[in-house]
Amino acid sequence: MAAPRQGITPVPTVYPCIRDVDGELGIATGRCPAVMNGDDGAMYQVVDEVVGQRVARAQAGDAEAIAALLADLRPRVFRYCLARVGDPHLADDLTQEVTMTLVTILPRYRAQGSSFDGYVFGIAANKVSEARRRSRRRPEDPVEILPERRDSAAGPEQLAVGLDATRRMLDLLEQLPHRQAEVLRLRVAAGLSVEETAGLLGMSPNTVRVTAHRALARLRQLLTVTA
Amino acid sequence: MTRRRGWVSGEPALSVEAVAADDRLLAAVVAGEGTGGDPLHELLGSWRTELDLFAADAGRALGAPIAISPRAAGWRRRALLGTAAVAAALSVTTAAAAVTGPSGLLAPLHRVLFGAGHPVPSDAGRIRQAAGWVDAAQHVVDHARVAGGISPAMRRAAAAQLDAAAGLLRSDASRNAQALDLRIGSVRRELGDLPALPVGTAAPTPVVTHPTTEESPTAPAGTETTSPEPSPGENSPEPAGSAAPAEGSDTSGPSPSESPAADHAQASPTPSDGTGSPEASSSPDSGSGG
Repeated sequence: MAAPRQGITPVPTVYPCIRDVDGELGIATGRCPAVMNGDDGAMYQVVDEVVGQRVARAQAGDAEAIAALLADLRPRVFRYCLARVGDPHLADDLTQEVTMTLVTILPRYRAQGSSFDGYVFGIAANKVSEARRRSRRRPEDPVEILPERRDSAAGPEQLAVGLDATRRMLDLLEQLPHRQAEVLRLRVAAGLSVEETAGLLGMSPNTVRVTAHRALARLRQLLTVTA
Repeated sequence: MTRRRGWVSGEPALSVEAVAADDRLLAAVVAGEGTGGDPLHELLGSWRTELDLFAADAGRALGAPIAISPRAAGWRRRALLGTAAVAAALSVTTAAAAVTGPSGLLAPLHRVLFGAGHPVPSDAGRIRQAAGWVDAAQHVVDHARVAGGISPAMRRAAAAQLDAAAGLLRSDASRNAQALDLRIGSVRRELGDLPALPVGTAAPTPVVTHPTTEESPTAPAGTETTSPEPSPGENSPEPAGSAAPAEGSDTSGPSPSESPAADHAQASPTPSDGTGSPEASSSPDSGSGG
């Protein structure tokens, strides 16, 4: 069982399925919250049954479960990485790194109070940070030396145009406190629920909502200024 | 409605309704619902749409075959065929050596492969060994089924493996041996039903395994099998809270008490070092570069 951490009491029960828990307690919303308040005031770990079973099967080496797990995670991890770095190719590389790391450490994964998605996006965040540190230490000019790769249907100009909103959001998010920007990336780009975001960032769900509210308020101000 | 001052100096007052409205806005953005003329909603929607489009593109790229030049393709085909031929030859020879035994025609090879003083295996050991041969043959059959056929060499190799397994079970009348014998017959039928690939066709190379006498992944019920579990020290669950990063490594993904972004000093106690190795804990791990 999970040890007390960040005000979370030891998890006494693992609820099997969030969909059942949702209406019953009226607290948890979203797809798969990591922790939630129980009737007795304690915090409970909540495990999505489908994801939990899939992870368990993947850990046992079930190739089908691993493929399903990665098929579900990969686009979301890519979106998050792209939202962080703004470069589709780098985001693709980072997603691949996250996937490889996940497959490598999956057999040793143990659920400990955080949802699996939160765990994965924690890996992704660290990969992005590592990439940034690498690029700071070894600035490089990227060149095309590996033609054995699928060429994107869009050309450079289309890519630049196609990432207009992404680049704009990158600029805007740079002007927000890191926590606020990260909450927006996790909620919008990664598609995490409030509870998953809370579990990942070590915040309560309500704090996540308030942080997102402040972030959006700041974005409105910035948009007004730029307009 | 309820309003209160933010506890941090300078923070604007909070409205529960406004917080809830923004929560709904984010949910609507993720769901791809209409913007309602709100420029922020519109921007967030466009952002999410772009991310979705590029994610779909990346997903297609992942599943797309790698373009190989004709020259490289030819080289690969030859390498594939060579590997298949060597694997088939090794398999046939090994199986033949196993069948003929230490005093047979291939006695020197048998001694090399199985040892000079190779003792007669116990019943359980013999069944494990035979099961390994059958598994190897089944592996070949499965690959051939995916490839749409089997080359003559691979068919001979698989048949030799089945013969080897049958030879090991010849004097065994136990229930396990009988069950395995039935399975040999089944695989033999599957092998016989496979269509033949023309010689020179580059079919996927099945890995023709050389089963050991120590373990067989799918030994028949009742036989002793070795556990595929890794060593206990490697995968043993760690207690919660043991996710602290190893010294000098970047193993600390953001535990709930940490920010996922290690480059942010305020929120992240993660080590500044970018290198690290995967750690067995539920704390997300950046790994060591994959």
